[in-house]
Parts: sequence; structure tokens; C-alpha cells
Amino acid sequence: MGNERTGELVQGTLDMLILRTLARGPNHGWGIAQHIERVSAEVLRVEEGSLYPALRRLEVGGLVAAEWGVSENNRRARLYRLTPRGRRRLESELERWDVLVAAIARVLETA
Amino acid sequence: MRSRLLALLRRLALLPRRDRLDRDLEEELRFHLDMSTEAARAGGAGEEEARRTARLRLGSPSLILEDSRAVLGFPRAEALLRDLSLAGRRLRRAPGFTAASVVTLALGIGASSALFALVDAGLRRPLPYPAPERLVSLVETRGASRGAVAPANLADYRVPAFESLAAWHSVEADLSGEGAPETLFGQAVTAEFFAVLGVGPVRGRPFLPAEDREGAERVVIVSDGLWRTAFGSDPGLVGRAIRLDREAHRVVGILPAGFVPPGALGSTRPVSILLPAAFPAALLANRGDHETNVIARLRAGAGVEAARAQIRAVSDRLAADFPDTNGGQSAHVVPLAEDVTRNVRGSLLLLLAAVGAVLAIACLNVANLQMVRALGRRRELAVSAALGASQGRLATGLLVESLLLAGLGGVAGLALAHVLLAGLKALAPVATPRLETAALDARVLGFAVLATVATGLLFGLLPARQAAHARPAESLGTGERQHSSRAVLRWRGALLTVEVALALALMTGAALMVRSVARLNAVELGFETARVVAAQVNLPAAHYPDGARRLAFFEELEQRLAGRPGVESFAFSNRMPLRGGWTTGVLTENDVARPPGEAGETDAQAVSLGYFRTLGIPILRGRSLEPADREGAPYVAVVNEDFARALFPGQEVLGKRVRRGEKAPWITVVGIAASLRRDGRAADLRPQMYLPAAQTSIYPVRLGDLAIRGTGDPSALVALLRREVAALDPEQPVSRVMTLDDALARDLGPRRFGLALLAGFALLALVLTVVGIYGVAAYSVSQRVPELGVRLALGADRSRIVRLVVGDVLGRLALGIALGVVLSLLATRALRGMLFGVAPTDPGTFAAALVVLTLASLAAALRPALRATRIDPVAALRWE
Repeated sequence: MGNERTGELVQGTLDMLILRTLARGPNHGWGIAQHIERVSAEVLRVEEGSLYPALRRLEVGGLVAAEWGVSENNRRARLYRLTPRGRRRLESELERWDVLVAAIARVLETA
Repeated sequence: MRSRLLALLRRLALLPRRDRLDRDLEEELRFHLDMSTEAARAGGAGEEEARRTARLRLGSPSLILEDSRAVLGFPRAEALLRDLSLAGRRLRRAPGFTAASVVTLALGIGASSALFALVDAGLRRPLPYPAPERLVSLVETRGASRGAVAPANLADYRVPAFESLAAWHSVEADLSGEGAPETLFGQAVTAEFFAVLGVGPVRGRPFLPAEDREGAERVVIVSDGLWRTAFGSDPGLVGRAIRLDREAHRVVGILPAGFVPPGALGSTRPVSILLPAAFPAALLANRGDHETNVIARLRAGAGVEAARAQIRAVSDRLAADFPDTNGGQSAHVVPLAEDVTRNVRGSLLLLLAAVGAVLAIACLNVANLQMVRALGRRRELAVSAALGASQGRLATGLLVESLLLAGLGGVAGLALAHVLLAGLKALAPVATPRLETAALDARVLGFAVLATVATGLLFGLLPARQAAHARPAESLGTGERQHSSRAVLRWRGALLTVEVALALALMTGAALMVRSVARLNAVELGFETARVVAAQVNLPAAHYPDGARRLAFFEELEQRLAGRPGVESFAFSNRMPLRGGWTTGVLTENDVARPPGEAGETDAQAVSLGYFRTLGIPILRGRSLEPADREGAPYVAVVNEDFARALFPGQEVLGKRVRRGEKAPWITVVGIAASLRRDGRAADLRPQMYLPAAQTSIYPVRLGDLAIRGTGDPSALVALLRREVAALDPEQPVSRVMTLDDALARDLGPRRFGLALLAGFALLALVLTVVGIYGVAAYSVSQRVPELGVRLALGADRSRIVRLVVGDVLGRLALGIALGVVLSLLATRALRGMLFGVAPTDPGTFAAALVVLTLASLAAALRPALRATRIDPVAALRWE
């Protein structure tokens, strides 16, 4: 499928953001996108064309589970939640991210 | 790795839920759209504007759905399935092309698979013995001629390279005392025979060395088949004695079912018994007496080369030590598998090469057809490309179509191969080894699959390449690339020339064979074969020591059979017609045309009184043989017209005298019989001399053949015969039983096979050529559409257009036909041995083949030509 870019995000990073968002609690697709946009102060805009395939991928991979429920404004919505597996994956991804960021920073610092 | 496998399994498990997930997503997207609209409205936009913004923001829902769906899919497999179904639909829309291609491929793949099965069984399948690659044959040769081995040399041939060595030769023995006596076919083998082959009796034991000696107790090992049919699978057979050649032989072993010794691998006569070779001392002392065949097993670690060298050294030494018997002779070692197939390897491989060529031509033909089709589809492909299909995808799609086509051809071809193989097995000459094992087994199927895939790729590559290189803009816009299509046309024209030449040669050959067989069938034999059953009664010398005793047996048999129900007449002789016969020289007496003392040659037979009547041979002048013509009475003979013409031209032959040699008694000619061809339809009319059986003790002939002409079922006659022979001598078997009609059919056998093969190839070649012509004609028409359009617009007659197209095609054929005639003239010479009554260069046959080919070509070119007349001139003119 190749690397798709979301704003400037790489596919794997989007997965991580979604998982982190769901770590706060179950949410639907719209909610996840809104959260990421809001918290990043509109820097990161999630394209729906990437979001839903990513969600499907996570669901198929067993990292999230989905159920039909009710949204905050009483609409029927499909709510995603993090599975234990997903939680474990999130942790390892966050670790790797930290390592990655530190490494990049070091490279950028050294002249 | 494991996690990937788990992931794959999870995906597979979720596959059935895919549709529901998609529906969920649809609803999700609607929800998303609503929420997005609300958010926009909250920002102050109106209902419609908010909705539009939301929709723009969302993008294409169908794209999202597709991408999501692809997560859970197997994109490559699904794409392949889609390609297949598309290919299927495309093929169905062009039934003409599809049918032509499938038929062509079926013929090519079917024929080559059938022949491969034959060749595989004959040449490549390993011999049915353990470690067959270690088995070799040993032959003695003098110059270029190969011969049997002298048993006296056997001991010297035991070289270190051999683990074991044995000798075998064919024998016949009469079995009696178990139901009706019968003549069995078998082999005499030395004691090590089973050690060499690595196969031994499944009950009982092999021969002991002590039994393989002159004068030892007579023992025998029987085959599984004989054990079942003659001894009813009696478990107590081992240890019992049976009567072979009227002597008791103790059965010491029974062979495994399906066992065939090497010498009998190509034969239809089953080996029923094995006897110890027990070479007599006299034979073992004479190094010049070549009587047997030798096989050996190589020691582990020793190669054929080492054995060859060692045997060479031995034979050189023997040649030096025994120049009288072994001088100029050398011995060779040949791998057994090679040796068994030596007679047919050449022709089988040639056949395989020929049929391989046919397959190649079939592929090229189909490639041509596909190219014609591809031309017509260029716009469709261009549109696909413009819509975003990658060149790779287009090429893959076309390749899939080719493989599908090849697959259909392959399946049809296998069905055809099944039929062809049955036909080949029925008609093939007996000498094809392991013929009965030829079948469409795993290896042959593997070959067929390989051939199918290879052909599919081969003829699919060209159109696929063309498609991959197509530039959409060009195809969608203006017209053809003239230069490349001209090159293609020339190339295809060359191929067609070759095809036409080959087809014409094959058709001419087949036509010649057809005429030969027809002529042969029309030949007058000169004697009757209908309702005549012939059989052989081989009286053993031990019990019938002289001619008089044998004569007495047959005359008594004649009396017993006379007047029995169903028996019209009975005859005995040395040999009945179509079963061999005696030829001798005769000297004439005081002859003007032939100097006295010079011998003429004639066919001769010792016949009973009933001979002429049984075989329907008319006596034209003089008298037939009479009861008074016995030993002691004057020697007489009946001769035929050819005899008279050859030995007494222009004279009255009745009353003339001849004799077999200077010291032989004079024989007077008393009657003249009609001409006949004793040895079959293809034989010449030869001089025949009929001597009374009762007067032939002095000649080197033995009475042994008899014939019954009767009414009703031949098997009833045979049963009657067996009963009467048994009544006279209970241990005497009746052998070589067959109707003369069957003997006649067998005579025709090799020619029939040759005809079937040639006709098959000719038909194949013709079909391929016709398909090829159709392709070229269609292509050429498509090239000339603008020109033809102009002609039509200018008022050309439709029939003129047809003539133009057809004439163009025929013009291209002319070279092929010319080449074909030359090729035929050369090739039909190879048929000379098989032809009958028609010369290899018979102009009538050549003309007939030519006419058929031309008519077929015309028919093939007609359809494209008619289509050419339907060209809309306006559209054609626009199509620059």
C-alpha cells in the first residue's frame, strides 16, 4: 500500500496517534479526528481518506475493537476502544518514538 | 514470521465479515458527514453551505470505502480473479477466434501429450527392476552386426565390474495334462538370472546352480498369469510336477504378478514359464555357437565405462586365443534400458520432434490470431490506459487471457490425448516397448500442464508486449503505425508459407497412403479367406520320428473331421497361405527357352487332397491331386499359371517334368491351378507348385499346418478340432489358431498404422494452416480498410472486393504451394516401402491434395473477404 501522508504524518505515526487518542477512552472516527486537530492546535489535520482505512487496519489487527453505541449528542455511532493488545502496542510505539525523537534531536544539534 | 502467519490467519478469519464492515463504514461516514455539517453550521454557515463544506472535506466516500476494503483483502488474488472473469467475458464475445484458438491448441497439446505418453512409457520410464540403472546387456558383435552370445564364452565374461551375470533365451514348450494342451512361450535362464534382476519368485524359490546343468532334474518356474489360468491359483502347485514337452517338470517357484523379463518387455506374447538354461556340454565347448543373450548387474561403485573396458580386454584376449571362433569379434556392454528400446528409439524420438514442431506451429498460429484480435481491441486498451490502468496491469490482463485460453485448450487437449492414446495403442506396431503401460499419468499430465502454460505465455507475450508499449493518445487519436504492421505481416507471411508447404507434403503423403491401402484392399488374393480357420499342430520329433508317422496322424485327423457338423472341408499342409511357406529351386527337362540344368525358383507346398477345395483354389486344366498319388506311385504335382509362364513359356506345361535337384526324382505336372498371392495382398503373383503330402517325405518339409472351412462360429470349429486332436494324442497342443481373415488383417497392420499417423498429421497441419490463413486474411483486410473503403466509395463491385482479398491471400500461398510440391516430391520417397500400386510421384494424388488445400484456403479467406465487403466506406475514409 505504500506510505500515505497525512498532512506530514507517516502511516505508522497516524496509527500511534489514534491509539493514543483512544487510550483516553472510547471514541468514534469523527471524535478522534477532532481531538487530534484540536490538541495539536490545528497543526495536524487528519484526512478522512487516511483515518478510516487506518481504523480498519487497527481493527483487523486486533489493536482496537469497535461497537455500535451512542454518541455524545445521542446519535448512533460506531465507537472504537483500545484493546489490551492495542495498549501494549501503544506503549512500545511511544517508547520507540521517544528514542527516535531523541536521536533526531541529537543529529540536529551536532553541527 | 509467526506473527505474520497469525496476522494472515486473522485476516482470513475476518474475511466473511468484510461486507458487514463495509456497511458499517458507510453508516459511519454518514455519521461523520452529519457531525462535520453540524460543526460547519456551528461556525456560522447555512445548511446547504455547511453540507457542501463537509462533503468537500470528506472527499470521495467510495475511495475511502475502497481503501478500507482493501485492508482486509488479498488484493493480488482478487485482482487475478477479476482478470479471469473479465478474460472469460472477452473470450465469449469473440467466439470465432476463441473456438479457432482452442481447437488449434487442443490439437497441438493433445497430440504432443499422447505422443509424450507413448515415448515416456517406451523410453524414459525406468525398467521394472530394483536399481535398474545398474543393469546392462552384453552383446557380441562382428563388425557392425550384433549377434547373440556364445554360452561357451560366458565364464570369461565374469569380470570384476559385474556383481552378477546371467544368460537367457526364448523357448517354447507344450504343456499337457492340465486341461487342453497348449504351447507356452517362455525363457530359459541361468541360475543367476534372478540375482541379476533383483526379482525372484514370490512363492517357492529361484533355480539352484545344481539345476542349471545338463542332465539335472527337470524343474520349472511358472508365471503368475499361468498359475491363475492353467492351475486355478492352486496353492499347492509348488513342488508338484507338470508335463512340459511330454516330460515331467517339478514346479519350484511362482513369479510375482506383472513380472516381465527384459527380453519380453516389448512383446505381446506373455512369458509363462522359466526353465533352467542347462547348456549341454557340447554347446559349452563350442565358442562359435551363438545361442543366448546376456544381462549383468554392475557392482556398486563400478560404472558402465569400467565394465566396458574390462569386457573389451576379455574379448580381445579371446580373439587372440581362439582366432577360429572369436577372431574379429568383440563384446560390448550396453545399459539395459537403452538396449531394450534400441529398435524404436529413433522413430519414437523422431515422432516426438515432429509433434513438438506441430505444437510450436500451433502456438505461433494462435499468437497470430491473438494479434489480429489485439489490433481490433487497441481502442479498448487505450481507453483503459487513459482511465488509469498501468501498463503492467494491462499486460497482466492480456497474459491472464492468454493463459485462460491456453487452459481451455489444454483441457480439451487432454481429452483429445486420451482418445489419441487409445488409438495409438491399438494401432502401434507391436515392437514398441512397454506400450501397454503408456497412460495419461502424473508425468504426462505434468507435461501437458507445462506445455499449456508455456504455450499460453508464448503466444500471450507478443500481444501483452504490444499493449504495454501502446501509447493511449496515439491509439485514441489517429490510425495505425504502418511500418510495424507491414513488418508483422511479412513475418506472418513467412510462417504461413512454411505451414502451407508442410501441410501440402503431409496431405500428399496421406493421400498416397490412402490410395495404397485402397488398392491393396482391392487386390485379388486368388484364394478364399472367409470362413477358414487355420491352426498349427507341431508334432514332436521324439514321438513322430518320420514323415510317414506324421502323415498318418494328419490323415486320421482328416477322416475324423470329415462330415462333422459345421465342417465343409479340411486340409493340411506344411504351411497355409499367409503363414509362411517354402520356396525351392526346380530344374526343368529338355527345355528350349531355358538351358537344361538351370534352376528356376518356385514357391512350393506339400498339400492334402482337400487343399484346393478348402482354400477355394480352382483347377483350370488337367486334374487335381488324387488318393492314388502316394509314396510308390509316380511323383506328380499341380502347378499354377505363373509357374507355367515362368518355367515353360509358350509351351504346354501339362505332362512336363521337373525335379528339385540333380539327384531328386522327376515330378510330372498333371494339373494347372489359378494364380494366387500366397504371402498376402502386397506379394507378387509367384510360381506355385503343389506336391501331394503323401509324396513329400523325401523333402525338407514337415506337415504341421491345417485349415478348416466351415459354417457357423469359428470357435466351435476350433473346439471341435482340439477335441479330435486330443482324441488322437492327448498331449498334443493346437497352436497359432486364427482365421485367415485375421491373418489378412494383420498383414495390413503396419500400413494401417502408418496411414493413421500420416492422416492424423496431415489433418493437423491442414487445420493449422487454415487457421493461419484466416488470421493472415483478417489482418490483411484490417490493414487495407482505408484502401478498400476508397474502392467501395468509388463504386467497386462487392464481388471485386472479395476477389481482391482472396486473390491477395492466394498470391501469398503460391510460394508455399510451390515449396510444398517440391517438399512432397522429396518426402514421399521415404514412403516408397509402404506404397502399393501408386508411385510416390503420382500426379493425380498430388493434384488432389493441392485442390483440397486450395479449396480449404479459399474457404478460410472467404470470411474476412466477405467482411471486407461490409466496410462502411464513409467510416473507412474517416479512419485514416
